[in-house]
Amino acid sequence: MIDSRIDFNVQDLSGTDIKALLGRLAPILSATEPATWRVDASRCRYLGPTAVVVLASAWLCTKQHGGTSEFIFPTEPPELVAFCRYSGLARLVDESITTESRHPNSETAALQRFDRANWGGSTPLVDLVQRHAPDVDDDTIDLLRLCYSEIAQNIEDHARSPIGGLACGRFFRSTQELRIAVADRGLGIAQTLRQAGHEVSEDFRALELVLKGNVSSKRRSNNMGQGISNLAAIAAGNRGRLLIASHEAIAEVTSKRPSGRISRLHHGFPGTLVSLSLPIGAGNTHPSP
Amino acid sequence: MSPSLIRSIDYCNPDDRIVDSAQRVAAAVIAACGTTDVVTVSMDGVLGASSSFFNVLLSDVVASLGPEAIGTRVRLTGLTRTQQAVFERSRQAVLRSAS
Repeated sequence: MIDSRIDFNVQDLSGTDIKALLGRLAPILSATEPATWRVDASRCRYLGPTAVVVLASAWLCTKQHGGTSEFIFPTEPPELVAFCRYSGLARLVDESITTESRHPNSETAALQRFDRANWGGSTPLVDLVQRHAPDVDDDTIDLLRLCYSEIAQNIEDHARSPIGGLACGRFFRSTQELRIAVADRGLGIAQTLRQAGHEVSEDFRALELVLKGNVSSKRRSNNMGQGISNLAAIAAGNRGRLLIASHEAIAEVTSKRPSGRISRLHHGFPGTLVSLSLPIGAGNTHPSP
Repeated sequence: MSPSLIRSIDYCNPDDRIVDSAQRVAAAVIAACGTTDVVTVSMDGVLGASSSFFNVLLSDVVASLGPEAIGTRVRLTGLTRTQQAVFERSRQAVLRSAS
């Protein structure tokens, strides 16, 4: 039995928090044989979409390997209890739990699993935003859908993830901010580039290259290496924030650091994790990839 | 006679893969160019067109009609501000790839 404890808050876009989360989950995320694990998050007081997709990926991979998992949910505050329920995290471990993410007060786009980049994949996120910011303009919706499309397309084209992609979102009314997280358990960026003949020995270097753009596996005709650099430009140009973790490297992009701050992960994420924060609302976005 | 206006929205249903829609738009453009000098591709109502959408559309058009067709025989209208930027990056990448 692997016992792990998340007894700290996990802010979605904090590299420090994500590193700590991956450290605590390392024995679970690196397990390649049937494992039994338990994660106790009863003392955690904040976790969001990023933690949800990481935990869900661990849950699904463990299930695929024939292992068993147990998750102890936070007990307070009420907002976090509600989020765990309606984000789909609780439903993952107990299918009798409903998500009700279309409830007018729901601040969550529930966990969804996907294999392909469809036009409609971003609809739950758009619905979420429109419930809370009914005056949101088409440029902002376009921006939001584009971000999702770029991430989903990368997963469809490159990841070869045994669990596909996992996406989750949450809207914060107080700050008029949308947070989205998407995870896959596929090859990761460096391995994808290596398979296409690029000489990239390090995850660190691979992240650096894709953030600059025009570096691609060119596996399909639509691959021109623009997806991640578009995401970075959107985050940086709209007072948003972007975090990408792929195996043993993590990049954080903000308006102050548009080219990204990249650091090494001691405990990596076996796949690719993307977390994005966008301000929503009148005048908040200035689309400029 | 083929229409000179292609409405992309007609090819972008929620369940469609984005790149499949782009291929169908490109096929419609190429067919229309067989009977019309200039084809306008309207992006009105299409939200969330990724770089892959434009890469496929432009690659297929360039492969069939040549790079000079972009902007002369094939014009895009109704792009959002974000789409204009994404389109321009795709155009440059496709033309680079074709040269």
